[in-house]
Amino acid sequence: MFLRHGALYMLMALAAIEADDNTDRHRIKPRSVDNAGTKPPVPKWSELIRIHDPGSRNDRWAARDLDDSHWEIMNLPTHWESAGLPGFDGVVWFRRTVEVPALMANGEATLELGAIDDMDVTWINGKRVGGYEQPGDHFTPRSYKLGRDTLKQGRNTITVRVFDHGHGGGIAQTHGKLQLSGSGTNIPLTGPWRYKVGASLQLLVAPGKPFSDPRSDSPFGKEFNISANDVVALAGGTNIVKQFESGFLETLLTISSSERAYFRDMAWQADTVYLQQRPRNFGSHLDMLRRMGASIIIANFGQVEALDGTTHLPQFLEAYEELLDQFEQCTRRIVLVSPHQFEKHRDPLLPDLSLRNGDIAAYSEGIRQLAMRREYLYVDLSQIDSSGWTSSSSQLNAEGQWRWAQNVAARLTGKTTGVRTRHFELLRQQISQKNVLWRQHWRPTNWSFLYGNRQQVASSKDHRPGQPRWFPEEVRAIIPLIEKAEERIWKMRTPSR
Amino acid sequence: MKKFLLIFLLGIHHGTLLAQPKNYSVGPAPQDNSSEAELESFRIAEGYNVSLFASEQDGIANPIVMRWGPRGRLWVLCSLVYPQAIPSETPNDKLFILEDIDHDGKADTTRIFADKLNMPTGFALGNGGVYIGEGEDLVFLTDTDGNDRADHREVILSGFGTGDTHQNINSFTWSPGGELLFCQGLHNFSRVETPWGIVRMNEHGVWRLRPRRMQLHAFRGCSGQNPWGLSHGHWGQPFAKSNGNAVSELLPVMVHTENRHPPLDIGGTRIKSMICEIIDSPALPDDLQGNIVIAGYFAHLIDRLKITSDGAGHRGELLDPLWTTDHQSFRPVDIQTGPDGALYIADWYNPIIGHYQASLRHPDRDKTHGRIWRLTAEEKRPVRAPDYHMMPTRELLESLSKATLKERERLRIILSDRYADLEKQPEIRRAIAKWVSSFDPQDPRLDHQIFEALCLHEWFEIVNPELLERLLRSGEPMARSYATRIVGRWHDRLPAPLIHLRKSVTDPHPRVRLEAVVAASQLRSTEAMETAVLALNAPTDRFIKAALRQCTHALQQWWFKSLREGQLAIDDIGHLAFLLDQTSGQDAAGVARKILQDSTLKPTSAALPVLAMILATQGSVEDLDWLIAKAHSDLRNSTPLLSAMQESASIRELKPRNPTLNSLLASAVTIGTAKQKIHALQLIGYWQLLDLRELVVNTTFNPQVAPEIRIAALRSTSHFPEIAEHRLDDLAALSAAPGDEGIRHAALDTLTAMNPGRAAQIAAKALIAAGPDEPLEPYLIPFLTRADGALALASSLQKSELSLRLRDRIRGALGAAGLHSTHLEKALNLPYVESPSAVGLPVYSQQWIDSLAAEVRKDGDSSRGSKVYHRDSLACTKCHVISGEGMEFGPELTAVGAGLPLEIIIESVVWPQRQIKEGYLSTSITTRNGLMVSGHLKHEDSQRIIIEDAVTRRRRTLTPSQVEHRQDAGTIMPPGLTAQLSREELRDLVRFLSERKGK
Repeated sequence: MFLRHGALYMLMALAAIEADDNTDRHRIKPRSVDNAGTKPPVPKWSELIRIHDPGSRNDRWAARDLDDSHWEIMNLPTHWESAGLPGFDGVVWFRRTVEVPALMANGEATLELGAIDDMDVTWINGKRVGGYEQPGDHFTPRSYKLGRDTLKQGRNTITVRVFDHGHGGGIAQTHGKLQLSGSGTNIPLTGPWRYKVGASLQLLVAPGKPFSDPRSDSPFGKEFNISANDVVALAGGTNIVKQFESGFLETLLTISSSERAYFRDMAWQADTVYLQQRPRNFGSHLDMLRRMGASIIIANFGQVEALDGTTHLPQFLEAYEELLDQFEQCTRRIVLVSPHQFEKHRDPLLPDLSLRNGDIAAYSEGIRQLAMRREYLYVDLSQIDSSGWTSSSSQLNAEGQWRWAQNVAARLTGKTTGVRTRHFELLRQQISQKNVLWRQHWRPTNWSFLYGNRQQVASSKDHRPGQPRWFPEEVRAIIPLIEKAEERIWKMRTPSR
Repeated sequence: MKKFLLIFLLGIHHGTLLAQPKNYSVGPAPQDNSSEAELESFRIAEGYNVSLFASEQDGIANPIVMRWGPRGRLWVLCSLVYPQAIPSETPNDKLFILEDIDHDGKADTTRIFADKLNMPTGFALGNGGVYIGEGEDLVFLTDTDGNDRADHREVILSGFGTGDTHQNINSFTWSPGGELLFCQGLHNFSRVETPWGIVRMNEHGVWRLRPRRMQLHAFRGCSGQNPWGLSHGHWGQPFAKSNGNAVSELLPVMVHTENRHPPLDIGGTRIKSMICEIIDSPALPDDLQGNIVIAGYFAHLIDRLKITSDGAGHRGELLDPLWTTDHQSFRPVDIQTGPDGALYIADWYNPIIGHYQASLRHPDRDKTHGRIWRLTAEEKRPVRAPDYHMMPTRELLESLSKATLKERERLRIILSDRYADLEKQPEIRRAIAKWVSSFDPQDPRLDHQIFEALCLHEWFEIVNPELLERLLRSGEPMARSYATRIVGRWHDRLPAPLIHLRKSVTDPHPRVRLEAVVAASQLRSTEAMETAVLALNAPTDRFIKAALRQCTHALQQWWFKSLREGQLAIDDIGHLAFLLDQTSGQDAAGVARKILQDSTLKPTSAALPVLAMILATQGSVEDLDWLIAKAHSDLRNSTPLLSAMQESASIRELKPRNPTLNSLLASAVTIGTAKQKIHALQLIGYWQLLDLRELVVNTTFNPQVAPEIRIAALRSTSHFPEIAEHRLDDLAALSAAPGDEGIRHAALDTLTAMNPGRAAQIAAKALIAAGPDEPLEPYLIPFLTRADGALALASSLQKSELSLRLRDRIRGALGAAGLHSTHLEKALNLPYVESPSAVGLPVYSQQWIDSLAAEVRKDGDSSRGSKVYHRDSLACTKCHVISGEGMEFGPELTAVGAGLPLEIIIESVVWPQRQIKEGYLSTSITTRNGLMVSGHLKHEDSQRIIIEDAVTRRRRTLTPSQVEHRQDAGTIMPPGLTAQLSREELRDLVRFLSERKGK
């Protein structure tokens, strides 16, 4: 019973989005059910496909009335590697419409597809008629019995979802036949089929980078720009954690951009270029960036690190480069924000970190050169007067967060926003709330029960008999809430007149 | 359209959820949730009364923490968001202020100081605001316009762990000197940026924040796994309460180091509890004064612990509880002495406390009730605290000389509020100075007055060396102790802190010496280590040793560097050995080598065994060779060297090459002392020195030799499998011969290693002949610890007629050892007709559990169940303790019924693999030489694995290289232990267990 509910949650998570498949990059990819990271120990392909393959949401690419007129055409039988998809492993959908005579439609029939490399699920008119979803059947000829009322007289749509997890893939008819037969009639199924590429193998085992996006492959050049459906990820330590909570920078960028972008953070308190501790089974930065589909990264490191002094600058830059190498596997559109000046606090008991501003300057210069070398954008805050940015600790206070965001946004957009209007504050409030949801989704409290070392205890399970786990389902169900909040934010981004 | 569908689906989901039966809960929710019904259930100790101070009627539900505020009002923190925020709902937890205007012991008004809080788990008032632990943030709330409503919020530190929310930062407690202490639990991993750098703490520990300087320190090794409760005695002695049974001495581990130290427990309750409130109140009975009162959230009671000093620390003795009840929802979670001298108890009120035993989304979690109870004494009158907050500062300061422990804390908080502004610092400085100048040198309370004055200096970070020196010179050891602690805190602002510490570390009182070690750990220099280690010149106890260990770790980067550079001024080799013992790896071995080889170390030096042990277990093969040469040159004093080598041989496969080895061991065996003989015999075996085999064998069979030496020889013999045939006969004879029991058992063990079949015949005979009180383990263990042993024994047993009782006893012994030998079980079962009514091993099903649970509730008989529990064939007592009876190996069951719902008890008993309690996961290791060790993993690092062996109940140390095969899974408790029981017997057993509630 519960499993069905679980499935409902998942459908909800997936169904609530109506986005064109080509612009799906920004959609948050949920973690798989039985694993915290992105790579299950033994892949459960059908489950992974159900979650990550765009066509498998509600099996919508198998729907009878789907408009497939823009799909590509492939002549079957063949391995797709030699028919336009060289080197591709993953899911490919095939569709073919056939005319069925009345006699055949009224009797039992057999659909034969030959051997399929490697697995398939097959539908007729949106109704599943068969499938082999475990590895090992790539030589098994498919032969599906069709009951009396499966075929209709006239046009019928056959859909085959093929999944290949290595080497040659597709409907290649190495064994068996490729035909629809019944009541003494034979309809050959060789020849042109429409096809569309679904989830790649890479996406299934390391979800998050579903579609190659040429925008991510080249750096910004001289100018910051946001294109439609860009995903902006923020990385850094406590100040970035709190910046994301406050929503200042996000509000400024949202208002100034004409295109819709999505903002996520991957910052964590006390993250440095040297060490970014994450809970057990959390996954790597790359996993995270892929799950969020990041296409722009704004990184802010060097503030805490500068306390080590300039003798550590070479190690700092080396470690930063390693971190950026990881980021680059997802996108090269990266902005490096320098650290800001420490200020002298009026309470003499607190350490006077302003004495370390020479180090801040040196680290910033190092970061600037790093950005130049890697063709990133660089935002310099090290020359700006930062008095009043902090209160009793080294962390930015609310005023500091605003001034920080103001300066970063001004440098990126060329526009300076001096006053926070009522509209600005209302929008920021919405953004803040959305960002709380994001946090609850990607780093929820009680992690040890969710995906840590205590997954099997009663806490994260339902109280009802059978004790399935409610926790992963609940965290997954936050995704549509985030998307709904983003819809609201987008709608109210320009002040109503 | 889709939106509607979504809502519709959600509706269905929640509808179904509520319609399901509520099967799992730690206990059934009470029918009557009224405070009257709860009050009715209380059994209060004689001489006390309890009354209701506040409840959900006053707007509070699920109170977690309370503190008495400056105006004598009770601040109460409540969280309904706990244990896990519901996505899409805006968190709205609150901090309330309750006021008893007419002083009748009942709250009259409720104010909300702060709302929209997100699962706060602790708070403290002071410095002009409120510190709140809110998940990952430490927040400072202020009320700038004085309308009792927070209007400014600042996150002052962030990054505390939330991996398991009942372990979030909690128990915010002020030290007398204005340091904020708080706890965190096992699954929380914290990393916090401070102006002084990043501070990290993984897992449980205690934090210390010095707020004015924003210095944060992490102490690892406080108390239990999830500490929740901190307090300070009259002279600032810190105590920590784990959420388990123990109260712990906190001071020795208040050293900022990565090294985790085991907790220093000083006593505790019978079962899990929290909070440690030290009683000092004229309104409570005299015999309660100085006791630590504890909140028994688990077993629904209020306990008390009598505290006395014990060397450098303390000792606690559990007395009868003050208050008990069977009310399932009474959950005392905080205890505070009020300004009226009464004890106030926060009652979280919940049938479920389970953070892991019950679903975080369990609908039975109570979110609507909560109580504050007030405990008073019949023969004492409540006191009426002055309106301190209205008093001029001069009078406040004077009150510090007479007020009680908790009231003094309140006075300090009032002062800290009044002078929170930087501009007001000179004013309070002058006021304190004036107060100090008024002290009467003849006043018997002078020392404590100076103590209080210094505490205020600490709060306001005013360094006053003159006043500090007065306290350092005090005749009262506790005064000198606290003064020593201040030296540590002020070390970077005092002219010569080490001079003071050198004096304190040799103080006649152990507590002062302990404080000196802890203080020195903050100095971050080689000199500090040189000073701290002087504590070893006087008698030490576990508290001082613990502090010194932690100090050694904290200062390692300084002293070890100096040591390598020849700059460490520690002349006493014993002291150096203590330091080296804390370090590990080649570095330590190198230093040990240098000292042993270069110095004129006396062979009788106490440092020798330690240094030899470091060298033998961590050094190279050359070091072993050197030890052999050294021992050879002076056999008389070779015992510690041989002992160190034996330890090395038992954990590593490093064989020496020194040609004099054989001659050394031969002489040790022939002319050495008994100890030397034993070590040498073992070494011959471990290193399989064939040339000396005959020597070992001859010793084995020489009746003139003392039994313990023959036993060592027998153990050694087992390393030589290719022994002459007639010697096997001798071994067999020896293992069956009357005479020394130890020799007989060791002989059987050795014979099993060489010829399991033959050994099994002897063992089978012995088992059959065994008297009713004779332990069977000696005849079973040899077979159960060897890969092919069980099969051999099973074949022998199958050939014999076994009595029912013997079969039961063997079965019990197997069960207790956690061994699942299908061979043996088969051998025991084959001729054994199970009672037709036995439950056998049912297939797991919820239905089966539910129907048995119903029978347990209806017909279960606890006294019959007790008899089942004590049966030989079940062997429950071989692994479980109930109220001090039984052997401690598996989880204690004293209060299993208070902690686990009936259904989980059934599941744990019938299918033990399904519900494994934290810390009881078993590890099975087969070693390269065929030994099987299975039990609880106690420690593991890159060098060694320590397992508490289920069979021998001894700790075994293995090195990773010895491991052939390893399996980490399951529990020691074997499945099918209850298969022999009839359904009625099982029912009664479960009933018996479910009634163990820790009282």
